[in-house]
Amino acid sequence: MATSDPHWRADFPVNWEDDHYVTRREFTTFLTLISGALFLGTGLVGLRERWRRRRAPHPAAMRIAQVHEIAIGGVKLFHYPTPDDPCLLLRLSTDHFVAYSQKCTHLSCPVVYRVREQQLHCPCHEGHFAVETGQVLAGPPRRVLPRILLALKGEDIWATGVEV
Amino acid sequence: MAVHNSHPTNHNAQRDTVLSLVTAFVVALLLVQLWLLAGAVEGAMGGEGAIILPATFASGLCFIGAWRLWFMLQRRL
Repeated sequence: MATSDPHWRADFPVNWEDDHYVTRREFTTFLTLISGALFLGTGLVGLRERWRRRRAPHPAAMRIAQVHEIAIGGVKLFHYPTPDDPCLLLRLSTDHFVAYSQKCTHLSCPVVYRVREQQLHCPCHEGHFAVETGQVLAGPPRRVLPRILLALKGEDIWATGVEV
Repeated sequence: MAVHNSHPTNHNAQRDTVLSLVTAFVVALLLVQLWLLAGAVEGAMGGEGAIILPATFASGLCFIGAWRLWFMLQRRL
């Protein structure tokens, strides 16, 4: 022990090197605990998802546009089911309307409608989605765009639900 | 003089090898569980809840495997 050490070190001599040494058994114990935590985490994800689906009410229907508002090949932005959920209503032909969530399924950038290519395009990371189905055509997104279910009541277009 | 297999040096070397192998197996199981957790979260976010239960079951099997290996380590080695 160095002469400059405080006096209490003589009373409590701890070999810090040995104290910090981790044996393989201790390391494997730690890994096993991590394994248990990962198993619990996976189970919690399932429980949380089940609980969320039970609690989430079916979104109420909402009138989003009238037929004459949108030209063929046109697009209208609306929010459904909450004000924090931007969506796009597209008119593909005279009586063919589709609507999707505007949040890209990659990292939630807003997608834009490209009429010429008939695609929904995410400019952030070059994701491409099919207009007819919302399926991923190219790019980093892995999940389809959530589709907004529509109902036509006379001249009114109603959003009636979300299909993930 | 021939060195018997029960020579302390050989026994320690064998035990060290088995210890290392068991640790490597547990690490491999952990990586699989990480992958399963990532898949479960991805499925939950994407509305594909059907994969969460199989992922949880597989993760449970991995945990049981890791626990058995750990138990063997504590008892026998």
